[in-house]
Amino acid sequence: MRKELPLIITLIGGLLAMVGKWTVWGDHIKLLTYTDQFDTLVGVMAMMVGAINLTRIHGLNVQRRRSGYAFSIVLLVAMWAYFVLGVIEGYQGKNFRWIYNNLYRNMDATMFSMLCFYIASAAYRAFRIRTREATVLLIAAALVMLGKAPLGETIWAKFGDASNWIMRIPNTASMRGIAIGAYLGGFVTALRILLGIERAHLGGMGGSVQ
Amino acid sequence: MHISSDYGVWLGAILTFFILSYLYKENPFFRFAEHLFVGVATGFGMTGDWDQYLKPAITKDIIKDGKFWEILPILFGLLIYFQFFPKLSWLARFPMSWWVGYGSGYVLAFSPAPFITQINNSFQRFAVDGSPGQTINNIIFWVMLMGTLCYFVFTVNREKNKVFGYPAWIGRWAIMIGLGAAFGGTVMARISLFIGRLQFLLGNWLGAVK
Repeated sequence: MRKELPLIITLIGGLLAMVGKWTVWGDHIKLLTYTDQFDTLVGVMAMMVGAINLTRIHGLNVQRRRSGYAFSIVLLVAMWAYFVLGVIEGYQGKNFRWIYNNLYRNMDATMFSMLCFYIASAAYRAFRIRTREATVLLIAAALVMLGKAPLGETIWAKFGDASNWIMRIPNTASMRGIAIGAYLGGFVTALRILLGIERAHLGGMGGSVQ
Repeated sequence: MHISSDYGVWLGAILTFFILSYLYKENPFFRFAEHLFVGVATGFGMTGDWDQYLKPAITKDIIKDGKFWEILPILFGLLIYFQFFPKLSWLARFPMSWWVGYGSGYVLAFSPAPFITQINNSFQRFAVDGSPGQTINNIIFWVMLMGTLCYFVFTVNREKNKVFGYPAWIGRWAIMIGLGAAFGGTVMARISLFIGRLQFLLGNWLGAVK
């Protein structure tokens, strides 16, 4: 039962999605409305898995007084206090939104904005490799950036056109090629999962059956 | 210059500096902000799931509208927490099987339509009357697309098979241009985020710019 039942559930889940989309009966009874809600609720119930894992790891840090355990306390207090506040006040609560606007949004934007320095450093290192491919990559990147920034148009009026051409022709062609490959891969993987050949998601039962 | 008197803006500015201090080196201020960010972000995510999905399902759908079947996915989803109990962890495979199975079914049922449209649009008539530029663009697009597809055919030895070898060589250059364009776009996005942070510090906080 431990091995067969999960495979049967996988197959039933997949068949329900396909029956809901492809059959007149599925359309008639609006099967997907029910299965989508079922899927959403099953997914939502996993909302605390990450929080429990964080609590276990950081709780152990605090319990064993590991180096930097004070930061673990900050994390645990922030996480559970904010969640409790959200449950009491709701998503649109005054204090909940205050924390969101002043703490979360500022920290989120700063964390991601910092990546511009690391990306610049990565570009420099890529350029130092001095391969023809890396040079083409950086020239394309530079043209796209100059075409989109006001500075580029000031230097040469045609930078905008060059940037648009790169985005429209070579970029779309290569990305579409990659997307077609990824789609075929996704399609085959989905089929393998439903047929029970691919079992990595079940953990500890072997990755796939050849 | 008009410095803000809002606590929230001050808090946001201080946390922004804490995070940016990482550009110098890792330090306790950054680690504090990092742990606070992870805590608040996790709390925010959990609150979102509770407030947007679970609470309406319990209070409105089940209690008010009598949709008692929704108790089933809630109980089924709870099985995921058995992963924290080693002896019963196999029960956590059931909701995982549902997600993967339903997701795979969705891929098989819904993905072909948009992808087939994209594939169809990729193979347009080369010659466009009265527009030699567009004709050349169509040819370049097709050559690059086919080259990219050939590059991802791994069942053929490209060094020996020239039919695949030359197009794959073109595909490699096309992919480099595409990745360069994507890289440029990412750099632009990060720089605009960083400019946003500077505007926050110099505008909202210090009031030096409008």
